[in-house]
Amino acid sequence: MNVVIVGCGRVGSALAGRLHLDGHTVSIIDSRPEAFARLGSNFTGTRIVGMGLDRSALLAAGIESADSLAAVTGADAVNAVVARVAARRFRVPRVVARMYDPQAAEVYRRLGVHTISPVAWAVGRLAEALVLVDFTTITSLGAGQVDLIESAVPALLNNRPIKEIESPGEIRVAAVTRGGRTFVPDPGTHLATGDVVALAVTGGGAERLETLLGRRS
Amino acid sequence: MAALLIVGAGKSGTAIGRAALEAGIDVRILESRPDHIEEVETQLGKVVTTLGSGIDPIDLERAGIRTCRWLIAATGSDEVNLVSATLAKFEFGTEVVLARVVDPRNRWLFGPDMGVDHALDETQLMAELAVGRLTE
Repeated sequence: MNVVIVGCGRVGSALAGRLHLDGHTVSIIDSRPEAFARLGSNFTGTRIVGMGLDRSALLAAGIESADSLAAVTGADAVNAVVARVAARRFRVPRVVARMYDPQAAEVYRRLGVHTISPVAWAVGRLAEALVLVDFTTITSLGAGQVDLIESAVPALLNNRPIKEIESPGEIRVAAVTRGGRTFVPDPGTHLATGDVVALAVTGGGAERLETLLGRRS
Repeated sequence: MAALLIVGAGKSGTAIGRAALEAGIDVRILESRPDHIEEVETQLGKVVTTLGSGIDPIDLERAGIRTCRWLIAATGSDEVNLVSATLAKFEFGTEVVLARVVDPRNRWLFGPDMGVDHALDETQLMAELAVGRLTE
């Protein structure tokens, strides 16, 4: 498949690497040439320096023959516009846009743009993972921007790597208590049934988590 | 009296607001920078202002978009103007939507499929006026 990725940040560069590895033809656009340093040396796809709204950059990336496009710059508005124009003007069959604002993501979904809202997505995944167990808010840090939440690990997550319940910038495992001993996990730590984990969760995330679990109306 | 919602209270938005008030139009303004809200209230007086973002559907609703016949997206950012226009036309059904083109290279995006009825391309308008003066 021919894939165009707009935005070479953490998500865009990782997505490009993954799709390239899977054998797809990838073009990636970013306005900052230094952003392409995030791409691994194995990436041999096309790099285009240009603004995501720039018609010539989109054409150079092959948007006219693209099978799919991902709009993953750091700006919701740019992603929304690029995704809409890709779908409506260039008839790209599969288009997805990342939008941080869940409300705007919902509206754009109604307008026919496939949107992914990372915060809502991560909270949804975490809620799914934790929904069978109880959790307690231990403390709020700062002006409530970050909550420390304690939760028992359900059987569902037994032997899963810790990163499965983490989300960069939103959810982080701060400590694990296992068999009476509490430690700070490393990236290789695996969860075990009966562990108690302390999670640092951004304020908005914690509130949505509570809503999802029916603790707050 | 029909109402106009202006997104962005920079120089363009403020000038449009002043002209609309003089034409007897009821003006509302949505602006994300608090200091610009104060400034436009001082300058124009009779306007209803709302602090918020033109790309947030909730803020557009708070600013009264549902009661407005016209919307002019006049921020200094083309993508914000385009998103405001799209939301106004397709989510809120605003009758007439105008949007400011900041960078002429982005002019191609300002079409009916993005919710824009009329593009206000400042650079192009200025060029036409300038040449018009030379040849009149």
